[in-house]
Amino acid sequence: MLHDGRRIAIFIAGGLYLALVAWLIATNIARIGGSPEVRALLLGYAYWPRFAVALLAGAALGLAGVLMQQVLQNPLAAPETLGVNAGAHLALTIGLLAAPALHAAHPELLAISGAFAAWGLIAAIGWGTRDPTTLILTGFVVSFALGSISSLLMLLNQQYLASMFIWGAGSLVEDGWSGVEQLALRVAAGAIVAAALARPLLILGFGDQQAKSLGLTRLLKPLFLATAVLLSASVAAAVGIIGFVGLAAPHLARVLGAEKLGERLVAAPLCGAGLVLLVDQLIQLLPPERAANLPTGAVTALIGAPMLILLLRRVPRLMLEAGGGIATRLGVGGARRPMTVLAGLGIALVLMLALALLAGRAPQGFGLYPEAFVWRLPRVVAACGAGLGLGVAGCLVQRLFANPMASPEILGIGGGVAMGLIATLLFFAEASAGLQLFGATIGALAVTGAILLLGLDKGFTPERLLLTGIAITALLDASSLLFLALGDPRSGQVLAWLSGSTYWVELDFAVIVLAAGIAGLALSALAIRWLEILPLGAGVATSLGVPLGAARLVVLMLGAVTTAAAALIVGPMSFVGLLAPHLAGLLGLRRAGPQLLGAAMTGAALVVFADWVGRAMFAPTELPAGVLSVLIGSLAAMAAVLGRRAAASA
Amino acid sequence: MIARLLLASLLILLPVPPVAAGEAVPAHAKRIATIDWGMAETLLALGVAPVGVAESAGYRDWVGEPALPSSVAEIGLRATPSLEYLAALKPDAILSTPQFAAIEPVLGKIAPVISLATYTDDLEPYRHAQENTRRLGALIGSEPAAAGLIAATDARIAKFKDTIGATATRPVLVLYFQDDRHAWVFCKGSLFDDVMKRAGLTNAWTADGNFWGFANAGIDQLFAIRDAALLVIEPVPPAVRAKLAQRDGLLSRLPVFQPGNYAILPSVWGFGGLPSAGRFADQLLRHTELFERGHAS
Repeated sequence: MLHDGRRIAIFIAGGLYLALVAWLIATNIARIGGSPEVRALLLGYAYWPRFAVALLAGAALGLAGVLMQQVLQNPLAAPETLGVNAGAHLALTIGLLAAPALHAAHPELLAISGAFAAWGLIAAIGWGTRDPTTLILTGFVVSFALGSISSLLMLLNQQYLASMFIWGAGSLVEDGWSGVEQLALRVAAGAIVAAALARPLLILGFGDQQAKSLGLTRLLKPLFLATAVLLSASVAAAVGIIGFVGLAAPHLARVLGAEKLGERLVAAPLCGAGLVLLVDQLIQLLPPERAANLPTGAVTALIGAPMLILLLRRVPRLMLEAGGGIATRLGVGGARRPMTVLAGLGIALVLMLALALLAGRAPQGFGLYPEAFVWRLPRVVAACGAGLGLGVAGCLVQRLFANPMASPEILGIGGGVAMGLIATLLFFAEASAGLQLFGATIGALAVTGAILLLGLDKGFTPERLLLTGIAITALLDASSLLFLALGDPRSGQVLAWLSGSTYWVELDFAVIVLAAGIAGLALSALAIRWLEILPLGAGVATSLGVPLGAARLVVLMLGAVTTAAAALIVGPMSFVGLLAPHLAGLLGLRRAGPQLLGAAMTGAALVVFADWVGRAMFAPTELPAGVLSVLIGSLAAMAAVLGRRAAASA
Repeated sequence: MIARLLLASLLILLPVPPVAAGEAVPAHAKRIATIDWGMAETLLALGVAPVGVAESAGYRDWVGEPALPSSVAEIGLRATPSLEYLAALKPDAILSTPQFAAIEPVLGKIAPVISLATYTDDLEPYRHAQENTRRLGALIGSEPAAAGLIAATDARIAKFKDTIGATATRPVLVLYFQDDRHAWVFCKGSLFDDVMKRAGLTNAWTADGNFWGFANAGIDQLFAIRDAALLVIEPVPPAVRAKLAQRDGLLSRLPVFQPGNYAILPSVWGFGGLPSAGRFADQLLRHTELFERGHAS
C-alpha cells in the first residue's frame, strides 16, 4: 500500500498536470487564427487529430511496454530495446527505395513486417536464454545492426529518402482522421487482448515453471509479444519513432504507485499518453516556424531519458542476478600459450595494415594501388589508434565492472564523449583539436562518474548498467537532433563525426590518436595487478591489499580518457570496445595482460578493416568507418551470442 | 541511434559560414572536378564538362539539365568524395562550396580548392550565382561565355515580366513536399524567391527560413495562405498525389490546393545556380494564368 503522504503528493502532481495540460490546450486552440470556417477546418483536420494521435501513440507504447516487460519478466523490455523501431525503420527505408507505391499506400504493412522480422531475429538468436540481460543485449545488438544498414542506405540515397528524416524524428503533424482511425483500431485490439487475458498475463509473471504447469507459455507468450510488437509497430507506421515512452511509461506508472499488474495495465498507457500529449502541446506553444523544427518524438526522448535515469533507483530488482559466474570466467583458464596467440594477432594486424595501405579499388577494379598510399596513411593510422584505444578501454571497463556487457559504448561513455564535444563547440567558437579532445574527455568522465554514483548504493548490476547506457544514448540522440534544430553552423562537424568517418583526419591528428591509444595501453600495463584482481569482487580485492577506491578511480579515468580519444575518430557507437575484449577472450586470452594486448590489437584490426571496407567496397562512394564498425561489430556479436548458446547446449 | 545516423546523413544540407577561396589555380583550367551540383550545371552551361562530379546519378535525377555527358567521372558522395579517384583524375582545380569547408584542407592536397558560396546568410543567391558564374568564366578562360549566361538568364526572367508583368499580382507559394504532411517552403534567401522577385512576383511565404532559403512547414501552416498561386516542384511523393486525386484530407482543402490554382513543375534544383534559375523562370512563363488576380477561387 502506498504511504499516505506519497499518495497526497501524487494527487497534487496529477492535479497540476491536468491544470497545465488544460491551460496548454486552451492556449493552443486560442492561437489558431482565421475565419470561423478555417478555424473549424484546422481544428477538425489538424489540431484534434494530432491531439488524438498523441494520446493513442503514447497509450499504445505504454501498453506495449507493460506487455513486453511482464511477459519477458524484464524491466528493460520495450519497443526500442527489442528491435521494433529498428526493424520498422529498415523495412520502411527499403520500401521507400524499392516500392514507393506500396510505401505510400500501406506504410503500416512495411513497418509491421519489419518489426516482426527484427523481433524474430532477436528471438531466434536469444531463444531459450534464461538470462534477461542477454535478451536485451541481443535486442540492442540487432537494433544496431539493422540501424547501421538503414543508415548506409540513407547515406547512399539521401536525396531520395528525405521523408525518412521526419519519420525518424517522430512528427505528430496529422492530416485528417484516417491515421488516427487505423491506430485507434489497433490500440483497441491490443487493449482487448490485454484486458481479456489479464489473468494469464499475471500468471506468466510468476515464472515459466508455474505458467507451464498451467499450459500457458506455448500459446500465450507469443500472443502477448505479438500484440506488443503490433502496437508499437503501428505507432511507428503512423507517426514515426516516439522515443523512450514504451520503456519509461511502465516505470513511471510503478513509481506513481501502480504496483499490481492490473493497475499497471491501466496506468502505463495513461502515463504514456499523458507524457506524449504534454510534450506535444508544449511544442505547439512555440511559434510555428520553430515548432516545425522540433519533432515530438525527439523531444520525448530528451525528457524521457533523464527521467529514466532518475527512476533507476526505484526500479526494483526484478531480474535474475545474471552477472554471477562472470568473474571466474574472466579470471581463470585461457590459452596455454598466450604468446603464440598474441604473435598471431600481431601478424594479422600487420597484414591488415598492409592491405589497408596498399590495396583498394580504382576505376579499373580491385588491386594494389601503392600510389594512393599518401591518401590512405592518415586514415589508417587514425583507425588503428582508435581501434587500439577502444580495445583497451573495453577491456578496462569490463574488468572494472566485472561484467562482460560493460563496454564504453553500452555504458554510454561514447554518448558522453559526443555531448562533451557538442558542448565544447557550443561554448567555444573556434575549438582546436586539443580543446575538442579535452571537452570529449570531460564528457566521458562525467558519464562514468554518473555511473559510479548510480551504482554506489546498489552495486553494478548488469541491468542498471545497461539501463543507464541506453538512457544516455537516447539523450545523445535527442540532443543531436536539437543541436541540428538550432541550426548551428558547426553541426556539420558534429554530425560528420557522429557517423565516424576518418575522411577529414590529417596525419598530425591521427598520430595524436595513435599515441593516446598506446599511452592508454602502457598505463594500463602499470595497473595490471589491479585489473587481474578487480573482477574477483570487492572482498577478494580488499583482502589482497588493493586500495579499492583508488584502483576503481584510476581504471575508470584511464578507460574514459582512452575512449574519448578513440571516439573522436570512430564516433560514439562502434561496438569495438564491446567486441575486442570478447574476441581476445575467445582466442583464449583471459588473463589481464594478454587480454589487454590482444583486445588492443583486435580492436585496431577491426577498425582498420571497417575503414578499408568503407573506402574500397563501393568506391568511389565512401561509407564511414564508424557505421561499418557497428555493422561488422554487431554481426560478430550476434555470432558470439549464437556461439555461446551452441557451446552451452553442447 | 537511428535518429543520430539519420542526422549524420543530413550533413549535406547544413549551412556553414563562407570562407575565402584561394590558392594559385593555373590560368585557364581545363580539368575541373566539382562536388557541388550547382557548380556542375554552371560549368556545363559555360560549355565545359567537368572531369568529375559527386553523386552524378543524383544530378541526373534532381538537376537534369544541362545533361551530364557520360564522359564525366563519378567521384563519390558530395560530403566525402573519394580522394583516390579525385587524385587519379589529376584535376587543375576542385570546386566546392562553404558547406564542405571541413574537408577542404584534405581536398587541397590534391588540387587547389575553389570554394564558391551561393547560399549565405545575406540571402542573395541570385547575385552570388552571377558572381560565381563570372569567376568560373575567368577560371576556364572564357569570360564572354559567363557574360552570355548571365545575360541570357536575366533575359529569361525579363521575358516573364514583359509577357504578363503588370497583371501578375498574386503572391506565389513554392514548395517541395517531403511527405503528405510536411513540406519545404521556399522563402527569402532561396534561388526561386530571387527569381520571382526579379520577375515581379511576390512570395506568399513571408516568414524567415534557414540560410538555404527554405522553411520546414507542417501542412496546417499552409492554411494561413489564402489568396496565392501554388507551385509544387517534382518529385511529388505518391501519398500527396493520392490525396489530391481523391480530394482527401486537409491537404486537398488547402485554399492554395484548389483545382486550377496550382501547378506541378518538373524537377528544378532549388539549391543550384543560374541554369536552375533560368529553368525556373521558363516554368513560370508556362503558368502565367495562375499569377493573375481574379483567377481561380
